[in-house]
Amino acid sequence: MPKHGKKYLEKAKLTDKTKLHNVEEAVSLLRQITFAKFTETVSLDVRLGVDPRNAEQQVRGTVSLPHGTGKSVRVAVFAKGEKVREAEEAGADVVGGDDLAEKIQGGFLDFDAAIATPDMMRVVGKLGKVLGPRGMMPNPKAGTVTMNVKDAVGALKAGRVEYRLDRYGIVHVRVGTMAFEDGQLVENVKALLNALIKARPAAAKGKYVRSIALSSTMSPGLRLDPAAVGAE
Amino acid sequence: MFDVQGVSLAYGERTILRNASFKVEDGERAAIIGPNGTGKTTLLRIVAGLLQPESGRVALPKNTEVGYLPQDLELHSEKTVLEECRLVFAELLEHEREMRSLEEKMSHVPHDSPEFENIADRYAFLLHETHRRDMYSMDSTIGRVLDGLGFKPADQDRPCSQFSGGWQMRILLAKILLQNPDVLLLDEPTNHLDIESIQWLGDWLRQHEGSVLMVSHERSFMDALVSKVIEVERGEVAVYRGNYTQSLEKRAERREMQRRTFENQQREIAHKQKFIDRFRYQASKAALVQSRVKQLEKIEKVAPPVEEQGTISFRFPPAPRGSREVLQAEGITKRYGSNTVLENVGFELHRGEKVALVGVNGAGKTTLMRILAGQDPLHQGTVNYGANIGHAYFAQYDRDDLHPDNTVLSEFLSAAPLSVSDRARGILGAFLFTGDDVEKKIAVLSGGERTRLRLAKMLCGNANLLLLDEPTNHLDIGSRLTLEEALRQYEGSCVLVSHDRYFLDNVVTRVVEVGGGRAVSYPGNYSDYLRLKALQEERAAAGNGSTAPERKPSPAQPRTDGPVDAEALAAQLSSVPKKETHAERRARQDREKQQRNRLRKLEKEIAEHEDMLYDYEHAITELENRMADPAAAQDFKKLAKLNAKLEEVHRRKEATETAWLEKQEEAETLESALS
Repeated sequence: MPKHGKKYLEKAKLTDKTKLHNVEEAVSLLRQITFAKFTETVSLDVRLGVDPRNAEQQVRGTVSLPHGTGKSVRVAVFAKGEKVREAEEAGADVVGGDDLAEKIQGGFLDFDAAIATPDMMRVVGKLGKVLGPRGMMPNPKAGTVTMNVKDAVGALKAGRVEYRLDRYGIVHVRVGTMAFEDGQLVENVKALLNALIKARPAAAKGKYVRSIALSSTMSPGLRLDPAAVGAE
Repeated sequence: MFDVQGVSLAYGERTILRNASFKVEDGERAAIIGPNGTGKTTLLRIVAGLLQPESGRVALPKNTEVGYLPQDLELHSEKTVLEECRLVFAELLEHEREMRSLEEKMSHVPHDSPEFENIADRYAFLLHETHRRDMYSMDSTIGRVLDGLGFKPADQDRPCSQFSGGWQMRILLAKILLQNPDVLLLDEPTNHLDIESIQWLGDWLRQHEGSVLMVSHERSFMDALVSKVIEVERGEVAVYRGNYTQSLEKRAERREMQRRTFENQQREIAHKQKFIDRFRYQASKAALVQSRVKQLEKIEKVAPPVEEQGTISFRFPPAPRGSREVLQAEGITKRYGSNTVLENVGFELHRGEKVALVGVNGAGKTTLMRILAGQDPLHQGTVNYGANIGHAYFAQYDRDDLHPDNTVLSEFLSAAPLSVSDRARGILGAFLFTGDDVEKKIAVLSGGERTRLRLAKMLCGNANLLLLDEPTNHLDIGSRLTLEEALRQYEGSCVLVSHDRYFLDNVVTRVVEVGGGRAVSYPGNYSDYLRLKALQEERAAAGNGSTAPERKPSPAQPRTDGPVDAEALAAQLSSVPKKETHAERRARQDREKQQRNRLRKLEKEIAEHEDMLYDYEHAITELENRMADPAAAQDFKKLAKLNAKLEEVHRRKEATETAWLEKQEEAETLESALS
């Protein structure tokens, strides 16, 4: 068993591990049990009733959180010609073509997401070993391989997040920070849950949403009731 | 997980498995145990789907991936080790190639066309698959597994065909582990591994999320790893919860309970039968008798407990007494290409010593063993056997020594001297080749049976020095225990390599650590060696500060076998002797001086006697040759003369031998008193 600190244990007394909350209740309780001296991140973890080893039961996609994630995202764009200017105007932090690829090969990684125009994919493909393990490889299905660079950069900046299953069948997504209003957090959580429910694979059998937990960086977790959030 | 349901199999009249049922859950590790040749491998092959049972089935969930490591298999591949291991990820590598081609296509297909949509779908799928199956850490995982199994970084680029049988098995094991299947079936996976690799394999298997089913005779390995034991004996399968040791206790309890139930039932049957016999013809008791008869018919009979199957019951023949110095090797240097395996190594062995060679993979244990056995040429150095020393070598890989077309009996007879040929069946019987087993072809023998046959062949020799390279491989646990006992009682000398810690602890009197081109000797058994090593490391750690620097052997030193540090440490472990008085010391010194003088004289005489023995042997050979000459055979007078001479030489030789033995014994006593 992990050893917890005094503050954690004190706050944990305010929670009931067996109780299933609705989203509003959980967000308001979360505020009471958060104790760190910095702005904590809020994340939602959802265990899904799918087999993560089965290719037909994968859950992956993107969702635009109405209030963003509270984190400024640095975006790199692979483009050439007039798309370079379009990306820069849209607010991309790094823009380039072969030169950017070389820079990344050399160890440059000061960005959180990457977008590429389709004609640049032959260049980006060579960076698979660098971007792949970090989950930053542009993906047409996640909207990061597109000619519409402007919208893609805007969406990422505005808080579009990607979700996917880990090896245990759990999805972990950042839904905001403790600096958000309660209402903002509630809306972000609901948006994510709706997206997950819509992404239910046809091959999934039995109960789809097994359990949901909401927590901040240092706080104890709070269980959400799948039925109350319309996940059952 | 998988579920074995009522599996039965027979070869002709011989039942291998009868209604075997058990289940292994996800994350569960189970071991199959049982004597050699009872069908452990057969059961494993049935689970692997390589063999069809006559009845019953193995239920596996859909899409379950099964990985099977056979006991012995040659890898016919010209690929390098790394390339061979990468084959496991062939599908992922194919995915990667396809992704590169799709990226090319994306560059020139109109991005609003349906074709682009298809490409995007496929690309997203492949991207997800490579991520899910962790393709990016493929090379580091391969490196980790190969390192754990004892491959050096340089080995990874060597072709598989350059490796010996045991190392090829390691490559196969590495591939199976990398495949990370849902069900892992391993047939004696530890046979070709050293102690460090066995430890590593245990750790790896502990983290495996799927089910593991293995056949093993490695007691400590099973104890540390399994939570279920499946025992196969005479076709019956029994399942015990717990590790190996716990399973033995449960097995004993179960047998005891079965025995009692059987005995109680037999008593009850006898009682009823007695009643029936007694009152069968009395009309007044007819109804009661009929009732008892019916009761007897209805009784569901309990089977008698299975008798414990015998294990190897043999003793090595009394070893002919040889010289006190059994073996002396000096300055051994051996290279394979640019790789120096042994450099300037010394090794000596005294009569009755049992020495274990230990060291990591590739340290040169087998090389040193082969050199001592005269199987491998040397680049430098000498290996000298003492007088009257005959050695027998048990090689780790047996492919060459047994002819697959021979039967057990003919193979045995091909090596046995005439004096034991009439006892051949008896000897083979002691090695559990009973009845028709002796007519089995070598090709159909199980790994354990082959080892038993090779041990039987060795038994017949007249060796007083045994060089055993992994004799415990393939032997079941009972046979290992008997071999332990036999080696403990063996009067000759023995050098052995084994990865069974229990076995080494119970047999050896000295441990020689081979590694880094050197051989360092440690007194005591394997546990003592580990303790000394730990103490040495502690001292080294403590001495890193201000104390004396670590002692390093000088390269010019002829023998690194000298137990310099190790013996000093051993002395530390023993109690400190009492202080002696001045007079006592004088008396002791005088006594020792006399003893040393006598010893020097004896050594000189022993050497002279050995020379004489050599001369006599030479003379005997010459006389025998002369007598065998057809010309001499015609001349009876000459023949009689030669015969008389031969007898005389034999008589003298015997007298010299007796004197030589007496002097040897005296020298030995003096030497032990002096030490």
